[in-house]
Amino acid sequence: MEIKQGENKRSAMIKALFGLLGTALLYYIVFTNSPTILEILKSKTYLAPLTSMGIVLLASFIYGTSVGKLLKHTLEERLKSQQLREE
Amino acid sequence: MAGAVELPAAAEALKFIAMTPKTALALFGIGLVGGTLSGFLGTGGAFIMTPAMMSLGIPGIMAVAANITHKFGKAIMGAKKHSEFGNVDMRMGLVMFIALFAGVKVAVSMNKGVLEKMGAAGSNLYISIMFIIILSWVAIFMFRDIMRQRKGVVKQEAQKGPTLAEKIRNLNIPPMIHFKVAGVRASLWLALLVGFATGFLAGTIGVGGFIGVPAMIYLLGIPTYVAAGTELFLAIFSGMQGAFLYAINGYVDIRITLLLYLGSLIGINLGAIGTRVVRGSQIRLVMVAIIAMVALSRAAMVPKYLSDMGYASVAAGTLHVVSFLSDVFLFGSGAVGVSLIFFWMLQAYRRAAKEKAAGAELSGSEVSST
Repeated sequence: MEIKQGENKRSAMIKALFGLLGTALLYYIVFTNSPTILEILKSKTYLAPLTSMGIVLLASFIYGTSVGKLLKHTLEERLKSQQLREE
Repeated sequence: MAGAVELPAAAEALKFIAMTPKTALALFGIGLVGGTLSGFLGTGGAFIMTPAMMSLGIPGIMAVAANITHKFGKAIMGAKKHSEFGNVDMRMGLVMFIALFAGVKVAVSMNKGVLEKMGAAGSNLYISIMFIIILSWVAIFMFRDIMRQRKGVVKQEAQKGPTLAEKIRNLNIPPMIHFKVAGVRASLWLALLVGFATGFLAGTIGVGGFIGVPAMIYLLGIPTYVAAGTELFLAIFSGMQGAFLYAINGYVDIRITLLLYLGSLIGINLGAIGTRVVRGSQIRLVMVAIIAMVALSRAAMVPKYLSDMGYASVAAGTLHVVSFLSDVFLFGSGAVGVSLIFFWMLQAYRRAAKEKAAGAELSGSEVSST
């Protein structure tokens, strides 16, 4: 059981690392191409919400999942003994 | 805010800001504060994040657009995290959303009517007075409840008979619905009423969660952490609608939204983890502190609006002071809230470390004795 938990944690951390690399890549693409992207966002066509909401979903999913995995196997695990459910 | 979104009639000229490292760092910090409050309370990010962004020089409408676009993704991830903890009652969220949408529509119509009849200053005064009355009432009610619980008065009072909130909660008007995750059976009409009130407040003052979360706790009898999680689930819908509307009108600066995410997605996870290690009364205490300070922030601005409407004569120096005080209360509420959350989490972390050390010591002594 211990070994399995260790593996789970390791694979989660690897996934989180890849996620953070993916996030860095996404941010790099957006910020280096920001003049073009901002022009699309100012276009007031359906392309504007598609672009912004697509980037938002991608960023929140990749980065959010990575941060979630990192915190789950560090802080959350550390605080497991302190969990309360008194209501 | 967990309500539907209405774009302002008059839009200012678009001006995308220059992104400096200082601005980027400030946006990270704003995101972290807003995310932590949202993760912990299910609400409470927008009222600080929008004015904070405006103080960085971001035009108002673009600050609102960035905030609501960011809220869309943040609410998805926050609700996902709360869902892992069993904190989201989707049935409750969907029932409330229908009524919430209607509440927003009514509130926006009323706001428009006030704006047309009394002008911008009158509208500001109306919104501020609504803020002060409703938030003060909620803060006093919640504070008294927390104090009563701490003193152990609740058990004594329970013997005297049900309170008004309990009487409302016990109204068994059919159809009754069982909300499995929340573990309560409530009247559909009561859930719709709470949703409508949340939407009305969201449409009137922009922060519906301040009444939605307490109403879910006291009127529907939902545990505090489930109320926070369900409120985040509701925010997905309003965030999606707002993100779409502001983007199609060309107000979204995606760079601002992405920089907010860097802080807020850390904050929302920290806040959600925080709900696991503190008591429900502590979550409510943070909410009371923030609600009371936001109400004070609005109260400080009343002399300015009265002066704008010509009902009172206030010196320019005094107006600067009241605006400054208003900002102190507003940003102070965020600082107090986040500090309390992090302080309690740090306490839990220390307790966990001590227990681990004691456990290791015990197992070490057992090994040496054998």
